[in-house]
Amino acid sequence: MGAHPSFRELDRIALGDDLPLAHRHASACDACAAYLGSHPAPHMTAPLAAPRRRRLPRLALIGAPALAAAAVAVALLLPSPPKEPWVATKGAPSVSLFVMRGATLSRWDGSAPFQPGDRIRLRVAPQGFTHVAVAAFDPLTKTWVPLFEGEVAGDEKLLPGSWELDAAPGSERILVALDTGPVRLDGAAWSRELVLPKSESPAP
Amino acid sequence: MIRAKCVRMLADREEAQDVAQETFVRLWRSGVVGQEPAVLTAWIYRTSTRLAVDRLRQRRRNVIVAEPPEGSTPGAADLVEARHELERIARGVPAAELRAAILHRFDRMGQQEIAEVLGSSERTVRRLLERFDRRLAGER
Repeated sequence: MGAHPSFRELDRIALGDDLPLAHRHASACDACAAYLGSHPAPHMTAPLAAPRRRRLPRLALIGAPALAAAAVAVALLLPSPPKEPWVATKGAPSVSLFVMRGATLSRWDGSAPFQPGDRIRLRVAPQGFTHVAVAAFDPLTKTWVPLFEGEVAGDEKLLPGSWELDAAPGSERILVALDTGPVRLDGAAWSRELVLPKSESPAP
Repeated sequence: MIRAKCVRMLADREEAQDVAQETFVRLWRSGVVGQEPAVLTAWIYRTSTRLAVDRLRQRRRNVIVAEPPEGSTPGAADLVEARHELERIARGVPAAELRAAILHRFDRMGQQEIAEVLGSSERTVRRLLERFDRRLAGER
């Protein structure tokens, strides 16, 4: 058995990376196996503080679950990226949605229901488009309310800020639009509407 | 993972918790969430190491934390000894040297992996580690 792998290599294994040499060592080394056992994939322990957040526009004032401003040990779920984005064909722009429920962060699978208090963030792969706009549908006024507009240079961009879902019944509708210049929601070169189903039970 | 890394570097659990929390907040805002493990872990190790170095250099000279590493980790005794040495000289060592030394001594990284995490060349990393070793030898 050779030298121990670095802790980062062990962490990469815990997150699902395929590192044959390090994996072989860890399977024969009690200490490394114990380290991996204390960090079972894909969970990691980390403290949580409140990130910046905004509410979706139609939200009624609700008793939002208080975020733990003080440091607390929580589970952070960081799944490996799927082979294909869930809302795109190959080579096309794509949108990924991340949800933070309590202290657990995960990538939305495209169908799982959301809970009041969930906070969402969007990652956009623009595939050549340079500007993005995000809007939420307001069922009272039946209009799209802009949430974010900005540039999206590069391969992928995690949009700044997060939005919190309220307890209002029904699904949330989010529109993500891309273009090569400032985006017009009603005439963007590419757009995708995300329908976020909600369950009635509040986030724990 | 983040907390374990911070405890390895700092030992003091409250201080490690602070750095882990700051790292986590920066992670949430960073745009690397959801990236492949190699990218994600490089970001976490780079950021938390920078934050820990800031803490180490602010510590008063007479504060030596001797707490053993959390849980069952390989080379725990070596980690404690390495931490004592590093804490003793931290304030007089350039931050870049400290970062490389931490990744090498506490996280068991080789020069290539350190270069990958810090975004430097292997040559630069080798120089930093050599300088740190000379400095350490001069202090003994």
